[in-house]
This record gives sequence, C-alpha cells and structure tokens, in this order.
Amino acid sequence: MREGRDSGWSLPSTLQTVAFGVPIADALPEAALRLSARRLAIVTTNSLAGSGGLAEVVRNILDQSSTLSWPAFILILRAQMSCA
Amino acid sequence: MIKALEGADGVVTIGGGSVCDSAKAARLCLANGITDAVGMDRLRPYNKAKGSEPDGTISPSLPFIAVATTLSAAEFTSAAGVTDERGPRKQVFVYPGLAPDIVILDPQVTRQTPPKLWFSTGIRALDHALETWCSTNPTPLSDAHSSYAARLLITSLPKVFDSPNDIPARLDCMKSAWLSILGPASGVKAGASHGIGHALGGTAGMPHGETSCVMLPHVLRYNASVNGDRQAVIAASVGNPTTPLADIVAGLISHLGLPTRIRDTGVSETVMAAVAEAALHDPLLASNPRPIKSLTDLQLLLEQAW
Repeated sequence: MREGRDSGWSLPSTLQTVAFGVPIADALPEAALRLSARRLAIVTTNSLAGSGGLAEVVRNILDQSSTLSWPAFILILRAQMSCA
Repeated sequence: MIKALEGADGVVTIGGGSVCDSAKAARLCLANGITDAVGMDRLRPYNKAKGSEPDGTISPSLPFIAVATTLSAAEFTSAAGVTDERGPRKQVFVYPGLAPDIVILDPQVTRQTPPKLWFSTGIRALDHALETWCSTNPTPLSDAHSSYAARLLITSLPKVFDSPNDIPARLDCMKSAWLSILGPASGVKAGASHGIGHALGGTAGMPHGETSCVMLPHVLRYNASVNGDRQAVIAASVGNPTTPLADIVAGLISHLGLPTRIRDTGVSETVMAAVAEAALHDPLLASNPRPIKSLTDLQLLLEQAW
C-alpha cells in the first residue's frame, strides 16, 4: 500500500515512563526505586555542576533517599560532548 | 565517562540534548565493551536509507533516568549524536534501548536554564511539531500529538519569555516538547526545515535550535501553496485564523529575541554554496511537502532565509 497522508504504517514509539510536573525531590527517588538502581552516577555539564547548582541539589536528594545505599557521584562533561 | 559508569548501577542525566546523548552513547559502549573512539568504529552509524537494521550490537541495560532542563526532547528518542574528535565529525547512532527508561519533567529546575537555550530549543520543538503536522506521511497519532504540541508551544513560549517564573507555562512547554518528538520518533518524516537545518549544522556548525529559527518560517511560506489548509488549522487554533502561519512563527521567534535570518547567526556567506550542496542530498529534502526539484529552488529558499 502506498504511504501517504491517508494511509501508511505507524511505527511503535519507545516505551518510557514520564514524570511530568512532579517535583524532582519526589520523582527522582521514586524513579530510582522503580529501576532498582541504588548507586547512581549523575552526568551533567559544568554550568549545572557548580556550588548550589542543580547537580548538587540532585545529589543531595539522592543522598537523603532511604532507598539508596550509596552516595551518588557526579560526572561533569564539557559543553560540547564527545565520546572519543 | 564510560569507565566511571562501570561502578554505577544507574545513570541520571541533568541537562539537554548533549548530556543526554552522551549518556546514551556511553551506555551503548558499556554494554558492548567499547572504551574508546576506535572501538566505536565497529558500531554502525545511522543510515536513513537502511534504517535501524540489527547488526549484533547489544542494547544498553544500565538503568537511565533523564532530568530535562531544555526543550530539545532528546530524552524521548533512541538516537545519539556523537562527535568523533579524531575528525571531527558528528555521527548519529540509533539503537533500541538508547532512550532513557524514565524522564522527569520538573519545570522548577528549568529556571536555571539560560533563556536563549530554553527558547531556541523551544523553537526546535515547534519545528518538530509543525513539520510533523505538515508531513507527507502523518499518522492519526502524530496528528494528535503535533497539533496539540504546536498550539501549546506557540502560546506558552511567550508566557515564559514575559514571565520567567510562570511555572505552569514552563510545564506546558515541556509537555509540548515531549509530544512534538513522538511523530518523528515513530517514523513520520520531517521536511526542508530539518533537511536544510542538518546542512547548516554540519557545514556551518549552527545548533539545531538556531537552524529552526532561521529556516522554519521560510519553509512554511514555501510550502503554503500545497498545505496552506493544514497550516491554517494551527493558525486558527492559536486565535489567528487570518494570519499566515509563517508570519505567526516568525513573529514568535522575533518576540523571543532569537535570530530570524541566517546572516544574524554569524554564518559566513561564503559557506552558503556548500550548505546548499549538502542540503540537496539530505533525505529530508526529498520528503518536503512541496518538492524542491533543483539547486536553484533551494538557493532561492536560502536567499530568502539569508
């Protein structure tokens, strides 16, 4: 069958869980619990990793979570990413 | 980064497309025992002609949570753009399991995002939504997602610009960026704004957010003769039934303080011939609703955008 505006194939999208409008302090521990992830690496950029920045906020949330047995650690990436 | 992830049993990204794509690629490398750029050579870069055929690569399994801070919507795709520093050249890898398992959209955290990044990625999301809505192969699902996303972006982005602490409007932007990418992520083809955008990015180094700003209004105007009725539906949905959608989008981009012409982005005119040549061979140019049949057609479009 010809593919066009009125006929065609709809391919499956990626199955994902999305927490929308849920404060990160609630959503992140819940997400880690759902994935049974206890030792988490936080990956972010320099601009968000400074003192009082979002990465620190997230690490504090994770470190205070009773579901995690290890402190989270932060990996800081350059603004322009590469995998070389 | 790959080595560091070996000690973790989960990864959390905080950021936009670059951070998310890096984690996607690192998880893929981790699953396949790859530790450097040479090892990545055995992965298969995405080829639009061949699609995502299996090649024996193991899908990543390290749990992945993404905290979005921009409107790039990279969190919702299985594609990872990676720059090979030996080149440098950018390659895109598409494999099952690359996308994050859980995405967190908390509008409060986006108040730290630089405004220009927030709004340019918002126009990028609008580009996804409108080129999906106007696509040559939309689906009922993509029509629902893209029209909703376009309406919400056009109305919410100015609210955030005028009131940066408008948290409900920020959340509306995030929800619409999410919806905007679902069509492309499920096989709906974009058009010339993306096709030329790829060429501007690859040849002139322009970020996707900016390519959308300088190309989308002109491509909408170019296509209006074949899909003006579709464009009018979106214009009417935002309360401007008699205004051409291209003018609405151009006005929005100007309102947000973003560049509306290629020359305003710092790109040299000397590279435009190479941009046109590269764009002509981009597969998305072929799926533009109004055919772009020749280099002359394309150059005319680029001149209008210049």
